[in-house]
Amino acid sequence: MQDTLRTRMGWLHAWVGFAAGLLLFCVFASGCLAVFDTELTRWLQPEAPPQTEAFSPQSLDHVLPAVHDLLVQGEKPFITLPSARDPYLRLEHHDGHEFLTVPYNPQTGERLNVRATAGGTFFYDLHYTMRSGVYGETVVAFAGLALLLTIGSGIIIHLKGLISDLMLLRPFAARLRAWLDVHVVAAVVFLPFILLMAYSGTFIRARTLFPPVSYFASVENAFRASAPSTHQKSEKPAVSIPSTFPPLAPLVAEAERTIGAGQTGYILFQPQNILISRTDASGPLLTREHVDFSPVDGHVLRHVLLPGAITHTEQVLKGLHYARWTGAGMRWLYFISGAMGAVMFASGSIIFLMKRRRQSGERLMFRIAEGLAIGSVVGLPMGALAFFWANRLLPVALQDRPLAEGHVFLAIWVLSAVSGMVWSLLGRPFQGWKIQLFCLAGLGLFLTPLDVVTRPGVTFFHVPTVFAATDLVAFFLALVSFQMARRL
Amino acid sequence: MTIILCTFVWCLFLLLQACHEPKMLRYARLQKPAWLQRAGVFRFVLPLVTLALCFAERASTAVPVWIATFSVAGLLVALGWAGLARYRELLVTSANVRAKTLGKE
Repeated sequence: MQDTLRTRMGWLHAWVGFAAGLLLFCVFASGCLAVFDTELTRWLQPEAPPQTEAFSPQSLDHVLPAVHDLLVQGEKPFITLPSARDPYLRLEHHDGHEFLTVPYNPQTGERLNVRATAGGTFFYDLHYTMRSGVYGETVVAFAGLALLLTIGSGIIIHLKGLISDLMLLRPFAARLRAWLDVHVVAAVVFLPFILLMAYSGTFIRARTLFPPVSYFASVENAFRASAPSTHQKSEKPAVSIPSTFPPLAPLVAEAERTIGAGQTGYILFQPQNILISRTDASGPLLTREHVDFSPVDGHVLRHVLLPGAITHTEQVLKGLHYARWTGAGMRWLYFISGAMGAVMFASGSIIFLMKRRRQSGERLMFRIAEGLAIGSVVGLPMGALAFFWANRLLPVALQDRPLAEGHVFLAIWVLSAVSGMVWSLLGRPFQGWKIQLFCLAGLGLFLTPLDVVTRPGVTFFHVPTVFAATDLVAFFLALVSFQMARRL
Repeated sequence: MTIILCTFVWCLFLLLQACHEPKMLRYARLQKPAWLQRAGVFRFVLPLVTLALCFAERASTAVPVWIATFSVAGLLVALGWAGLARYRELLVTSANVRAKTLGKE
């Protein structure tokens, strides 16, 4: 009976795992980058000085003209206050894909002259929508369900060896055995994290899985909403925008009296009110508690804190999933765990292909599957590295620069997928894997020299942490890719 | 600092756990040391020590830190054990080759 169950679960684990795994690899890989979105934005705007002066609330008023301009354009601008993680005052708005950000000096409120970039939030958008709006969000949410199914079946398959094989890694054994060990170690050791991410991620997107309207209507909405939001910008807001805003320093002080000293994080501007909300760094409970002020004379309108057990459950799961409350150490733990989740999907896909190569190696479907695997497992990291290269090599004065960075990312990813597919269809998939892994190694290896050459004010012995960490991770990825390509 | 300390204690626990697994010992070509019998039950105290450390740092985030450090420690021990096994394998292989050569002479 148990053997039958294991066999059946094996089938389910393999097919659902492979079908959703290629997408989930991208979700986990982009997710582990999104954990460091703010730090990556600092890498992507190298002109901003690494050290800044202390924050002065009076500096907020210097940002107000830019806020007004964005409101007139129909955007919803907000100011992010300086924190231990990011020392700048930032004016941000969502362009339909990512949060575009302009840093300001936290002491004087003077705008810092930096390049326009999609920033680290590019990976955040990629993580949960695959840059396809509500349509992508729905696909990712269903992939999350598939992940829960794969985890369940995986546990049943591996129940016997769950403890004894916990740390059994044999990288020098036969190839299939070695990949199986990599898969099991990545999956079992990081099971709590993967389970938490799968569950909380699916829970957060429950609305797309169980829409309040019929599925047909929600699919229609998805296609309608996935179009870029540029047309919305021309629309005039229904409420008139005040020509001047009240000074923000007293408003922040008033909000801190309610929320707590040093607990304010964001100031969101809307034509009808100014919201000062709690920082996400305050704890795992992502309450977004806020105090609303009138944009005309600055009097308090209301204090909003959503109560209730269901709301708290949602807030805790969001807090655990987004990890905005964490310090650098915990953030690295999230990063490593996310990377191991990606390794789990990559190794699982490779095992799936290895097991079926002999019987189905000549079949068209198998070749397409292998081409897709190359495009996903190697293509996404290549695209991500190309994004960093594009950020440094595209002209600073380029029109729509953030969009151009995104286009470079997508172009490299598509190129990788097409090339992988061609090599696979030609019956030489190893050649495809090898070439792309060497390309990935090259992109990662030369990112450090590129950073050193293109970063203004770089000194050899003083490397700010965000730059050094990004370069080192790229270097490590290059070494792993090189070793894998060498052993193929 | 707590994260590093917790990872270290978890590594210690997982190493002791690996020393109690016959499969792991066979893989690394090791014999179970006698003193491990006495440390058998003691090893289960270590996860509680890490949990206490996490709670002492910040109660609201203790469980995520506890779990995440376990995972990272598991990865470190798996990599370290694989390295040890490879080293011991090479050691045994070279010893066998030397014994064969001496036998022929």
